Amino acid sequence: MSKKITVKLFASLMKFLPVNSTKSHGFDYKIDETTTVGYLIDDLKLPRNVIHIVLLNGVYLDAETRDETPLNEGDTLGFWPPVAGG
Amino acid sequence: MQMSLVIDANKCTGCLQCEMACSYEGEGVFNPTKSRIKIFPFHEEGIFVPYTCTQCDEAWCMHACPVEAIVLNKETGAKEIVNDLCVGCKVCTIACPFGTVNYNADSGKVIKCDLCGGDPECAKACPTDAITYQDANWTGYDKMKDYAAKAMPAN
Amino acid sequence: MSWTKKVLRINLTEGTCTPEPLNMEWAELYLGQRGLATKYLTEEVPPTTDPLSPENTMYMITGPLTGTMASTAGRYSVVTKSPLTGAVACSNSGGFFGNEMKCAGWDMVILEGKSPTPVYISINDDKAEILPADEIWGKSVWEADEWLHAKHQDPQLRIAAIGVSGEKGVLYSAIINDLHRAAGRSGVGTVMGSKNVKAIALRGSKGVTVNDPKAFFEATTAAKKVLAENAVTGEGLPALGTQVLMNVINEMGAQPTHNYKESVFAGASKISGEAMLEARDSDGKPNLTRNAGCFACTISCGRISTIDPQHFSVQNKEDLHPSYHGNSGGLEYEAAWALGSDTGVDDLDALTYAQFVCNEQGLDPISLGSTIAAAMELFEEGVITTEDTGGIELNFGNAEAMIKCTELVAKGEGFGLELGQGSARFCEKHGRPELSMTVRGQEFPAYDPRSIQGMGLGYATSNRGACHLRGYTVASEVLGIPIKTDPLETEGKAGLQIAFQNATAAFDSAGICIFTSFAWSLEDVAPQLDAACEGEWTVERLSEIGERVWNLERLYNDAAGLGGSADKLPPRMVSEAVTSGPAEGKVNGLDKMLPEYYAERGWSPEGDVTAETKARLGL
Repeated sequence: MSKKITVKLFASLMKFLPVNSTKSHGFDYKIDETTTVGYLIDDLKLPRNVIHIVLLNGVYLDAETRDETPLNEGDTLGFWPPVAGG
Repeated sequence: MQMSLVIDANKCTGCLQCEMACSYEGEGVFNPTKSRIKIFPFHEEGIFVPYTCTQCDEAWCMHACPVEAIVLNKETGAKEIVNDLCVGCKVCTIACPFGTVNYNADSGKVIKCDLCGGDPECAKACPTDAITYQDANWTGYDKMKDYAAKAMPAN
Repeated sequence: MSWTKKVLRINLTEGTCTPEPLNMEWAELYLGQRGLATKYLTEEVPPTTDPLSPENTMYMITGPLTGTMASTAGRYSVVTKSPLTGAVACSNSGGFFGNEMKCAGWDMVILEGKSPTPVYISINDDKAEILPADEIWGKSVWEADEWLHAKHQDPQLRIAAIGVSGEKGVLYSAIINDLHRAAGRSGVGTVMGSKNVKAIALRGSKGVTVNDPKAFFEATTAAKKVLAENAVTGEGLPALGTQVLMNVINEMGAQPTHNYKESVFAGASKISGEAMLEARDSDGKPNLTRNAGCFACTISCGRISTIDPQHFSVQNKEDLHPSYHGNSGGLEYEAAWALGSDTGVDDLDALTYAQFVCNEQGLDPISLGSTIAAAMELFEEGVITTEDTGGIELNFGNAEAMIKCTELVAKGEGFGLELGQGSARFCEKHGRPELSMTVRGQEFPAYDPRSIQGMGLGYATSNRGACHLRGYTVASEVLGIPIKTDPLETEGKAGLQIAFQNATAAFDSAGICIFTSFAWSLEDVAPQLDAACEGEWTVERLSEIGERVWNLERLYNDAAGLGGSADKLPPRMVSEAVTSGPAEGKVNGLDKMLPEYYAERGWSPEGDVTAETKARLGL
């Protein structure tokens, strides 16, 4: 059974957004039962060396454990390069 | 190969690193008012434009100097001020159509860009490549390449 | 070398401009800018002084690196006793004013006393004059800027000025230099206005030298390389500016919304840095035109933007300055959250317009937005009505109301002057002090301290009142710089805050921008200072200076009655849990962090600097 999640790409990662994505930088994405964050990163061809902050439903995923993190129906996954401001 | 300063205003952020590098090379202090290159902010248009001497071949300043204090550096193509000869008459500042030769009241001589003898400090200091030092015969190379990319046929 | 070792003391009561030597003994201990001027303040202005009286003094000061080729080295600070907080005020600004002061041969310009009539200060190298400003009193910063350039026939003058708000006594008025760079917080512009000083116009031709040029070029070139190769300072900040934070902070549930009632804002992405890049319908242009650098800055996070020409804010306004129809200093994150999510306004052009007004009239957009948001909550609760607001329907999300309030505060008129007293006084007046999101009377910045615990401790202990620029643990808690810590955890946050606070105080005293600290540590700063200045400047010495400066500020606040008793957060932060998002159910654990903080600082359990700590730091 497939699941639907929302993927959001920000800052310099916006260039990896599909052409028809919404103005809130997100798009819906269908995944398989067993899809993990790591699998999704590769599936979307996101550059691993650029990804710095990954928020799953707003909660930071540690770089060490992020690849194995499973995804569930309705999850929102946000990706950022290194960013800061003030 | 003769080289030229190439300016791309779209890349300039107005930080004045070039002015400081220039004043330090020329006067030994960090002092934008003693820089041979100037950044002009056009506030409402939202753009910063670096401007300095383009080293004209038939240089108005050189021809106008009554004491032959402006000479051609054959290696770099720069028109250089010979301080020992300059009498501070300022005729060159009037002759130059671009305003890039200016009088320095502290020394009583004029100052202008001399390409730092072939290794311009402004270009080295620019953090965004708004000022680069390139083959004088191909100053349009980057622009041409940009437009070539646009004309590239889809494959 | 590097310091000019000269101070210009301007007594406005007497009408005198007197050069004096910089106190180099103090410079050895407090470096420059924030640290050194605070030392002058503590020696010259008693902590109980009325901030708006002639007895208060204002210090405009550079750091030893200011005016050099070190990256970002164009900074100056304004130090005084704040009329908003009563505590020490120190506001730091970029642009091109600080380097010009240094080039004119002055480390610091001191304004003391009060002029009997409106004046401006003209400084051209050694020549300093107090000149009449009657023609620009009542005009905006931008109008004063044009008038001064024309009057002196000098397009290269660098000008810092106050707007009408600062003349009228709005308590969070800023000093604006170079049209849109601000010494923004704590009402330093109000102090300038209280002295009847409209502007300072500078021209310097002397230049700046350093102690060991060869070592200096090596150190600054290496440090610039660090900035260029860092993903944040080399790529993120130039591309999206501070506004890159809007979506991150919102997605993680720390976006202050509706006067901090909520911490997720539905309209965040519409007012984000990413949104500033999107082409609009009316003219096909994006809000953002380009990025811009302050003096010597190789990061260049500044935004140059336009307002949609079709937007209501710029329609049918005949007396609008032409800059509103062109480019000006655009939206920064702190303005965007305060005027945007906190008031519930998700209209990017309305926010850009309000930011332009803050620049034109010299206002701190954080305190402004936050005060409007508090007034909106009072309005929605029925505590104030259209009778109080002069007919404005002050509901959350009403962009026109936000703009109207901004314009009224900018002019210091009617309801605007009331809002201009800041949210602490406004809420107090209307009997609901708990709705003011302030510490020491200064409004919160952009991070919900229930969702980012360390920032709560930072706000509570910040010497200039709630502030993000005194100890930016967001870097660690959210962004993973230099290492990632859990934003919802209180453990370890006391030590983290102290480390950030001390390092920041050192950066703020050197003449460089705190944004370099996303890539630099004191290890990168020390060699630059060491080459620029006489004597030895090591990481250890800078760390100690940072700690000394922090404690000196604290001692001044203590004596002003704003020490440990003021280390408090509003009740909403410590007893009302977050209602939605990733931090749902959380309150700030200040009670856990504060005792640990006091202990690690070497302070008493009441938060007093102990005799031991004073002795250790030479205070």
